[in-house]
Amino acid sequence: MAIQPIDKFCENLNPRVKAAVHAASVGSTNARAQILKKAYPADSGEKLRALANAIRSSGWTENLETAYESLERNGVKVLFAKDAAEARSMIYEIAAKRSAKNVVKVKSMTTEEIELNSFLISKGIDVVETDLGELIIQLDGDKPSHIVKPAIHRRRDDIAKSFEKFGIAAYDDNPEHITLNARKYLRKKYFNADIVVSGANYILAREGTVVLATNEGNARFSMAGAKTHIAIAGFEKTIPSARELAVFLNLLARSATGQNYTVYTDFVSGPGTAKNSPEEMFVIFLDNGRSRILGSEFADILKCMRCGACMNRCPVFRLVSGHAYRTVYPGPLGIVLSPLLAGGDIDKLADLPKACTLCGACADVCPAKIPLPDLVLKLRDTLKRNGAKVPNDINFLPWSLLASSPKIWRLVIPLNKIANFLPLKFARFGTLGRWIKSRTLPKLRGGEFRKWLKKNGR
Amino acid sequence: MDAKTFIENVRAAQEKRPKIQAPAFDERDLLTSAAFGESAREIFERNFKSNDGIVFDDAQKLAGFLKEKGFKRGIADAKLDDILGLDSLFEISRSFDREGNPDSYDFGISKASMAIAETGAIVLKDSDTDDRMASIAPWAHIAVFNESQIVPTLAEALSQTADCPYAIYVGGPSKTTDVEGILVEGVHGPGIQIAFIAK
Repeated sequence: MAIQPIDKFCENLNPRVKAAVHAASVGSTNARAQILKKAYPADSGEKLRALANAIRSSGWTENLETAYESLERNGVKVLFAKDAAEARSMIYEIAAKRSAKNVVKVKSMTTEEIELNSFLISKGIDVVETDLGELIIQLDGDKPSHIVKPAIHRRRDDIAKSFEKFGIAAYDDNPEHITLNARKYLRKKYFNADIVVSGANYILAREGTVVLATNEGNARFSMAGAKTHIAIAGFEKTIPSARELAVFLNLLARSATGQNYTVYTDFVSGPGTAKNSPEEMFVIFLDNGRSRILGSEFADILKCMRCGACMNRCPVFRLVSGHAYRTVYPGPLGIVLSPLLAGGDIDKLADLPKACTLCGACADVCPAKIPLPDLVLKLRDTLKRNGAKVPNDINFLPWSLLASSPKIWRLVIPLNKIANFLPLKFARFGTLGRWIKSRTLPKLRGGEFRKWLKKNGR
Repeated sequence: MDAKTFIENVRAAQEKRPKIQAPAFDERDLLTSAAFGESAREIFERNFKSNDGIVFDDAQKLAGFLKEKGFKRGIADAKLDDILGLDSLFEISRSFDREGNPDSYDFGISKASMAIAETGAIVLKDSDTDDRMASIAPWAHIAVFNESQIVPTLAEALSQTADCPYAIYVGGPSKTTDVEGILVEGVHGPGIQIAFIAK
């Protein structure tokens, strides 16, 4: 018997954390549905989702070339990084040349992907996350467990404790006071900042503009404080122009948090002209496996706008929480993207695509209409064919024999009524015990549906 | 990696994909239900208020509001010509003191470049800003603009945004739900966001 790592993580998860993740995910899912219905009463944004998908189905090279040209015309220095290591050293070199000691960060999953913070800190640079959720987890070396709400798994009392431990403020677990204490603490960081490192929600090719969406205003404050701005983004974040951006801005916040729009949307097209603004700007385009994915049958995953709607809606994510996935990108997005980004290490993450019931709920809420369940199936297939070793529970062997032979299935199905008389719900141990713990078996009817279908269907 | 190799890698990958024409679309397809109403101003006010923003069009009432909050000091961005007579009631600086006491301002007042009715947001551009700090550092921010500067839709605003090195849409006070999902306003930026529509 072998338990999958995700199941193991889930078994040991603190029940309060479990409840918090579940509630937050359900809440976000409902808020998303309501606000899309309100904004687009006719079709809940269906037309827009199809458009978002179509816009990102072509033109990667053209967008990238145009963006390169426009950004340079705007006075931005453009760099190209083939992988995480190259991106990290590019950023470090920029910092070192300016003798920069203090870096402020604007929440960016791409910088999590390249593990920038620990690298810069090891080189003696002070790096501070300015998004409140990211700051909370940075303090005690924790990792984000959700791509939009990184601290979804943290409780107010343990946040207050770490604020006290790391000298930000005396213990106070009132959420308003926690926020105010972070406000005071980060102010000094903004005013002392040499460099701001951000990601990019979008890059407008024609205009040469980096678009950043935040609620807290940390992007603007960082870009008022620091003298150098570095934005890093996968090349797939580039869209043709500001005209297409309207499609994405109308979907992004609604899908992510159930807001109409984020409070702040920054449009950065080069060094600032106002006092207290960056005097120079860099954009680093990152590949890190993306061109390999673009050339594969998994290219659709590059349409992702990192809203988190898929994980909020996912029955597995809701149970196991983000850290169970062991990588930067959790949930339905992560079980496809993380193994693909891992390249040569793909086998280490071969269990991830199995953390899926193929229920299809993620595809229903994805603003870019990424066919996630199809990609999951394809990835399982690819991994199996390539001989990747996935821990399998041996007790599922009889089931897999049954389910993969229609003949045996037909033979056995009338017998399934027996299960109705077995005291299955009292199972506590082994595979069955784990299965029953979070599921209820429906009443089995011995193939009634097949009989009905034979008579009425077709 | 040099630009050429990087772009060629992307091109080689793209060539393996089916060739698809970029889709045509009409801006009208993007309109949200929030874009409709009597006038651009009415729509803006409704949407800005639903973002917890506050609207004034009377300088005396604005001054009264700021007094009521107990505010004493303000920073007025140097590119804003008419500071609504606030200097007779408050201690107003025309430049931001970053080195001395950057936290001493209760409110900042600056010029907005436009406002967006559909999204209920004000637009601040570097071209109309002397110092970014006036709109982000103080607890309250007042953005001043004329009714004629309100554009009806997000799509139209976007067509006029990237003409300057830096622009920002601001839809209400700075906020977060990072602690247990509880909404708190005023994280790094203003907890009070005011639109002043000049006559």
